[in-house]
Amino acid sequence: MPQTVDVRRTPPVRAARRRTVAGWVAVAVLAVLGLVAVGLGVAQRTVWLPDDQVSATATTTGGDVDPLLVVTAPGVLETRPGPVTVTATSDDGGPVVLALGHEVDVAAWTADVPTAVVGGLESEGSLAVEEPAAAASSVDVPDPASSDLWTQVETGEGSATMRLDVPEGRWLLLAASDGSAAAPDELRLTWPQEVETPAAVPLVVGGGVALLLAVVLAVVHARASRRRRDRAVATATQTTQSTETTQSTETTRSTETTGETR
Amino acid sequence: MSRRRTTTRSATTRAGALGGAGVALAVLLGGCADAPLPEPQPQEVAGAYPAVTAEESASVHEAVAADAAEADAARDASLLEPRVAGSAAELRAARYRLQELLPDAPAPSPLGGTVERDVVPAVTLPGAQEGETPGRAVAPAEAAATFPRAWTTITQADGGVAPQLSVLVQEDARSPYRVVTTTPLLPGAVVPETLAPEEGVAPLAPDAGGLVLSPQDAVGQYASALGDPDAPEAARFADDPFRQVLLQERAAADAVEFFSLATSRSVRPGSVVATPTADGGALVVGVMESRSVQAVEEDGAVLTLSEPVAALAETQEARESAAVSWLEVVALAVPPAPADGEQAQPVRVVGADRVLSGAQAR
Repeated sequence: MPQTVDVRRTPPVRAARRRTVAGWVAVAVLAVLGLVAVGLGVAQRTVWLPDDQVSATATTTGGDVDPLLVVTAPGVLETRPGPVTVTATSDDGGPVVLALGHEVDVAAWTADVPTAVVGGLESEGSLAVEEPAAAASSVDVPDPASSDLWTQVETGEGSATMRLDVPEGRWLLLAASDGSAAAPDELRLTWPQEVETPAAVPLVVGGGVALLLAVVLAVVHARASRRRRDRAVATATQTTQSTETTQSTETTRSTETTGETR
Repeated sequence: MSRRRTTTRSATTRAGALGGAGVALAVLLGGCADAPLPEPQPQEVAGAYPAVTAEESASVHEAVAADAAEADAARDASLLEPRVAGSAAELRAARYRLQELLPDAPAPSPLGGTVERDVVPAVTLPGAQEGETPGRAVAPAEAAATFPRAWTTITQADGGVAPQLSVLVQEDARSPYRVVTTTPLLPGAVVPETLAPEEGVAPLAPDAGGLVLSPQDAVGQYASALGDPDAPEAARFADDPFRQVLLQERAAADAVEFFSLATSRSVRPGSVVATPTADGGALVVGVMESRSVQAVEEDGAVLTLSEPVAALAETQEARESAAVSWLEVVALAVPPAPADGEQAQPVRVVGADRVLSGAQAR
């Protein structure tokens, strides 16, 4: 049997030590990777879990004139899949009106009135704002809340919030104060966001498997090391005995070794 | 021993694979942050749509009825302003005045109640074709040009009163719908079937063709027919109780000895509103102003004034002249223009109202 020859030729103690060190390194690497993977997977579903909604804010700073009205450009409400929640805030705590109307009706309402137009996303959290140019004429604007034009109206003091499923067609949102005061300073649009963590489960499962493998490997190596230690002790004892005995003992041991590796 | 080496190698491979997965995950997470920002999603331009939804219609009707009832109860025309304007407000104000002067003067017909017809205006987005998806909203000036919008309605209030045919107008985007004209339907009058498509109805222009008379001409010629039973225009109109009453009054005034009678009647500019009917004709509402002057022809003759005229003129009799002004509203069913070889159908009067708006006597 070749194993018998190997055992006899190789200096037994040094080779075994090298094997043991490599094995333990593999166990450690596996264990660490497993722990990291499980940790990443759990973190994805907990501390790193993305928000289930995403917001963007438009802030009217006022151009040449302070806007009396704020309107959304076509499609801005539909930038992300709805329903969209719109919140208009007025820094001075005055009345705030939010109204949903047909594009024609909202546009007609803004005729000759300094109006800020809220456009698309400039960055993840902010919306572009087109400030009004200098007004050619100043018009008295009634309180939009009482108009017959809107299909949905929300009012409030300091802020107003409207949750809406934008209907089919071209709809715009109008934000205003009572018509005579400056428009709300901030318009915040919030859409729902589907939260997906496709890597979480594979990470946890994979990490778990790696940890399990590490444990199995550790057990195997621990047992192997013990056997080798025993063998080393036995060999040391044998050198003092007769050649005939050594021969028969070695044959027996080689058989054991074979069994061990299996 | 060779098997043991294999185990060590496979552990290394696994470690590499897990490391790779980690890197892939990091790339995936990093990639999310760099995804392009979503753009606004403007929707397609669709066809016409009704300017007023059923819900809005109900709320407007309710507001009109409430304001009118409040003003009627207080006999205060200033309370009408939010929802009743134009000739509708003038007729009510004149009735309030008569009610103050004469205990028996009738109150205005109530507005509101069950909505029997609602012909709401259709609106289309100007400057864009159907199916386009412009990223910018329509220019405010162009949008403002879709006003005024007129809406014809028939309501039946409780209490056995005649149904009211009313025209509501939204002058501009920032105005509410206001009743500008209203008239009770004449007893037994049949209003031709009106259109009620989902997208609303585009009103007809006062000079619209395809009718036996354009809406403006129909009201104008009816005004002539009211003044003279023998006028050629009179033949175009089916007989109606309103005209009968006015012609009888005219004949009586004409018969007064020693006094001459002169009557003028005109259609108030901009008052004619027409809505198409299912038969290809139109339902037309218009406002007329008339003034009759009775002047003495023989010195010493005295004209005894009727009670309402005397109340308004603040004198019981006239020795020189008596002038009375009326505000009149009329609703006409104008048939479509006849086909070649067919005879034109007469215009029918389906609603009419009038109120004495002024009187002077010397």
